[in-house]
Amino acid sequence: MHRIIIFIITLFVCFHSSLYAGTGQPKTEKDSLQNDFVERKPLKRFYINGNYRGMLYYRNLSELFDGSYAEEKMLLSTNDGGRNPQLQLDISGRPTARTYFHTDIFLYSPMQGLGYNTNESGLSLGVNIDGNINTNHGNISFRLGGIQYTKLSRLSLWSSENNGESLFEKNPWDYFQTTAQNYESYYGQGTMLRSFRWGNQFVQGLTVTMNDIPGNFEAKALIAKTPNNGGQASYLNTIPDISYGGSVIRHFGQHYVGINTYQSISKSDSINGKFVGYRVYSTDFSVNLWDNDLTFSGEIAHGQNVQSSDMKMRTGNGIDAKILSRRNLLTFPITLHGYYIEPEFINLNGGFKTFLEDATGFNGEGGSSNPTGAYMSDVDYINGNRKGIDLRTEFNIAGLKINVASGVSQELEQRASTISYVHRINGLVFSRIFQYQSNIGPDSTFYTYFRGYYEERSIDTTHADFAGTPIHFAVSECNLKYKFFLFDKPVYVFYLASITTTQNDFSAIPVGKEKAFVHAHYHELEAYFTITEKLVLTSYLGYENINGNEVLQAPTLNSSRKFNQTGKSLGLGLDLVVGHLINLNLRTRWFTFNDTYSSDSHYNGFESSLEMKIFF
Amino acid sequence: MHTNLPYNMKKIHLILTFTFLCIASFAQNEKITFNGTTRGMMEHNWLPPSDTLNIDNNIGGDALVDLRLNILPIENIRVSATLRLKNEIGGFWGQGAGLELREIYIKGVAGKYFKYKFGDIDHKMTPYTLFNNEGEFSQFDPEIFNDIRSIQLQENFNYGNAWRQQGGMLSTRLGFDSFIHTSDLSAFVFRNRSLSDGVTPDRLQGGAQAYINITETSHIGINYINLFDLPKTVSNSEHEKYNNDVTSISMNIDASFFTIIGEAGTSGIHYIDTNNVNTINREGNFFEVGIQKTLKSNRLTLSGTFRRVSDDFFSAGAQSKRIDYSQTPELFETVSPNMYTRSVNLLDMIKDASVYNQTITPELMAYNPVYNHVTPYGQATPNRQGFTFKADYTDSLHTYTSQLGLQLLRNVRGEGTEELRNYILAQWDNKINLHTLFDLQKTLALTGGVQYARSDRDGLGLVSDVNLRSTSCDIGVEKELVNRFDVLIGAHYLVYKGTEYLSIRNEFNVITDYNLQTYDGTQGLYSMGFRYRFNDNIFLTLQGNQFNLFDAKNSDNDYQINQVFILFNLMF
Repeated sequence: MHRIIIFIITLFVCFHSSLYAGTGQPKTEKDSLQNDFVERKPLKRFYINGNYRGMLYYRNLSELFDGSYAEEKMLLSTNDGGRNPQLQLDISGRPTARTYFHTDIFLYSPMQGLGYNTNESGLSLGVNIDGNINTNHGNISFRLGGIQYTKLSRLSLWSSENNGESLFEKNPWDYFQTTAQNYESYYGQGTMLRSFRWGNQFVQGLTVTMNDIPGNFEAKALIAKTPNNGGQASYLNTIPDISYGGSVIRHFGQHYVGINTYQSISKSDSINGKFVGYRVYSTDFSVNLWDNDLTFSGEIAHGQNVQSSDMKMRTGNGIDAKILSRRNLLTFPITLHGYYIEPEFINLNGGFKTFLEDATGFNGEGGSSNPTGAYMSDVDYINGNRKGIDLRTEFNIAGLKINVASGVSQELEQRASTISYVHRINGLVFSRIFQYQSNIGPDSTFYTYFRGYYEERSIDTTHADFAGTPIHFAVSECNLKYKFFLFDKPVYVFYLASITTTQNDFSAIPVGKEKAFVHAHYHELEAYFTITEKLVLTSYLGYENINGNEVLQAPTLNSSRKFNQTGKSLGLGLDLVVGHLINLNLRTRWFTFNDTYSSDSHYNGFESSLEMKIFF
Repeated sequence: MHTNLPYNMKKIHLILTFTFLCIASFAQNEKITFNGTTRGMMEHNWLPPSDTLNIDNNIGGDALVDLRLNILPIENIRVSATLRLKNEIGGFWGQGAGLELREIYIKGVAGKYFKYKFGDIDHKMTPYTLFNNEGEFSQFDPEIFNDIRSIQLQENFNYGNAWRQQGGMLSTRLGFDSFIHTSDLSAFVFRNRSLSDGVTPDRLQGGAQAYINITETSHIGINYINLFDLPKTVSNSEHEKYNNDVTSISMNIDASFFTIIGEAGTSGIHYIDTNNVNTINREGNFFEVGIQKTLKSNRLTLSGTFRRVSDDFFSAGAQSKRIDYSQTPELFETVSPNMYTRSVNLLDMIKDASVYNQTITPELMAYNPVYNHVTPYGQATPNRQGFTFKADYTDSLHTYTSQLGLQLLRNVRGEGTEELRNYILAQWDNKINLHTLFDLQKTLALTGGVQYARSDRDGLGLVSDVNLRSTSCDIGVEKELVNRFDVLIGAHYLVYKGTEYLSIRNEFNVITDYNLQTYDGTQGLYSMGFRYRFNDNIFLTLQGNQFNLFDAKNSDNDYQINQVFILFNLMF
């Protein structure tokens, strides 16, 4: 019976139908909205660009402390330890004139010979979405997502800037270094093309900027997380941790006055927790006088903080002020800068180094990669629990550009039981060997952070030569830049040196080794020879010597109170322009480190990298 | 380098390889276009200070881009894939960030006769065969809830009443020279389950539809769907097999004065155990018939139907619920002085994508009777018979839109007693565009709705009476203050009281026991926010929500959730 019915239906269909599919929409699809996107007009303003970085990295350590560290092994790698993928794609689109999104994808193959399962990929900066609202009362721009870069004021939300750094290592200037151009701009303009990140703090969340507000106001606001809000994976935390901040600025012609706040808010517990964190309130200003030659700027701030250890509210104040004369006063620029930051003025995201008594940090934040105690910093960096003043000037003598600076500072309270200082010369190398590690070395005194490492030594506060009063610091810097021509090709020579000391008494200049608890001097000499328009020979010579005296405690029972550490580095390399936006960079470096007072505190070796960078 | 990647590496590289091939193609031609969605959200949730026993604060958010690639290699083929790039707020340098393939499919026309799709497919049939019923309280949301709920629907691919499935589909249309207008034929096979655990057989869902379109407005159709196991996917010696098939005939006959609508069919659940013994054979049936009349130039539609769905009618494709009430919401899992694990509430329905179900399941899913115990599984809810009346009205200027529904139902068969429950479900939803009514330049709209549900059964002194009542009402205001800048207000209030027996069923939906439940409480969701519309597809909104639950039986179960969030949503 069924077969007869099917036969009849088939006959009916064959004689009375014509088959077609393109002209009708089956009913079963009528309510499907799967075509929702497809039917929309395609996004026209859609962009993909990025860069490729192919790298071969070789490192061979002849010695590494007592030989017990696994990192002593020879290393062949496709990465020098930085976070640089081989391929990065930047994807962006502009759905409307007032909206925009951006994201990125990184791809990295470690080439370990174990197949594609070891390959890595993901998002580097993440997703950012921008919007802009124009009104008669101002323009509002906002960005949601992250990572994004922003700042408010130096004592509220800022990132320290230091222009005097080596150009030999290309990593710090990644994505921007075009062969020879950076050396010329560093000589000619005193700096190089910086990433947009320079001077900004990185955050994730919402940032809002308001411009053209009637009455010459502008404002910023943010609700965001920084890595100091619970770490790099705080989205997993059950304890809330967030930052709020904002600023309102009123312009008066060339002058302005602003008020700022930055607050890092957390709880002591995930259940019924109380407030811990810190709040900063500040006002800053800038006044331009004398035909805009003289700029007087500064900031006054008040801070409150609560630590989870005792839940007490503490307060502190900070002052930062600067006078800049561009030409009228001395015919060349001169900057006088002073600051006063009380120990309880806490802000891990400000443009100064918060005073951290020890590695436990502030509520567990900031201690792992920030030098603690009494930190011997460069001139451009300012510190908590410190008052100081520094002077910087720059002048030109027959093409020799001289930038010199000197600063003094003093602890406000003698609370630090440790002194910390950087090892600049081999900082990059050492931070590649030990990435983000603490208590390294034979005496467990080394700490690595992003592109550097520092050492921490304890003070013997009972020692007769330790006055027990707030410690004094002195630092002097010199940065020389010179350009000359050899066979009609430019040669750039840069010299960067600094001497820094810490001692009992005030001294306008760094004191001698016999008086200083720690005496450090660093020298970096670089020369860049332009062989052709597309080929530059690069060279680097670095030397540091750091001495500690008897006031310091011996790190272990068998080690010495005193130390005499010497770091040396010799580098050679080539920059080659392969094509438009395609560079090939070769770098080699021989490095040594030795402490004459410690039989195990030494390392030396060689590293080399060959890198091709293609921007598209 | 980044070491804590959240997604399967193999999968990621497959995705990326595919993406880059597409991008490479893009560089060479314009056969690839892009659409998608991008969204960023930050939110702060907190419990009141009086709650000192539970995790009480939560701050976070995320930002994502769903990048949809539309690839047109030739005129009749379209390949589409959506790649999600997402990072959590509070995850730096690759932490909490990842790539995800959201969907991929190909569709096209073969030989000018057959349409085909393969991959991720949204498909629906009829309310008794394959139908994704809306979640509770989702009709006519106040605008302030609508924006957010639509994101959860998008997250879960709940487009209309279609289920998102993975498989293949073929369809065609026959044109006729005489007797009838056209005929639509379609068939599909989707994979419902593949666990690779060596024990659970693969499960497919296949079906077909044949529709005869007598005229452009009248049709008769045959629908067939079957959810079935493939025992051989485990081992050659395995026999365990489950299948749930539904066959129906549906019609929509335009009889000039009114339209006759109806559907009737049967269902079966069959199970063969591991010993190759057929242990379960359950047959069920249903029918629904009624008339529909459209008046006043298509502005008023009236309909009335009678349906009878037997107590053993089961249709996995039509009875699976959109909201999974067995899920624990992501936000504040434990609440109140009793520190109990809370269930899905009014706020979760709008805000929590994780409580939405994406899978067709053969077992009748859990539901919360206080939200809707009359038709928890939509029209295909088993063991119901009775009348349904509907009236939909929209005026020509769309000033006033109203939907009124009334269902008067009764059990087909007693559950635990010979007495039958009587049910009433009344729903009335309205929207008034006052700006149109009063010729205002700026938008001013009101929405309001009410739902009343009740069940009654006399226990005759042998068992407890069933007398559960729940009343829900919502109201919303949308006011445009200045150009494209709106203030939004919404409230949803639910009160419930009474006694009801919840059926406890086994895996074949056979009732094995009853759970007596007494309800007495209220839920309230109150919201206010602001929204700036860049255009119809892009908005920025700042909203605050407060949710309260009061349990009149035990005040220690009371709890409150507060929420503030900012959302920037772009569709392009």
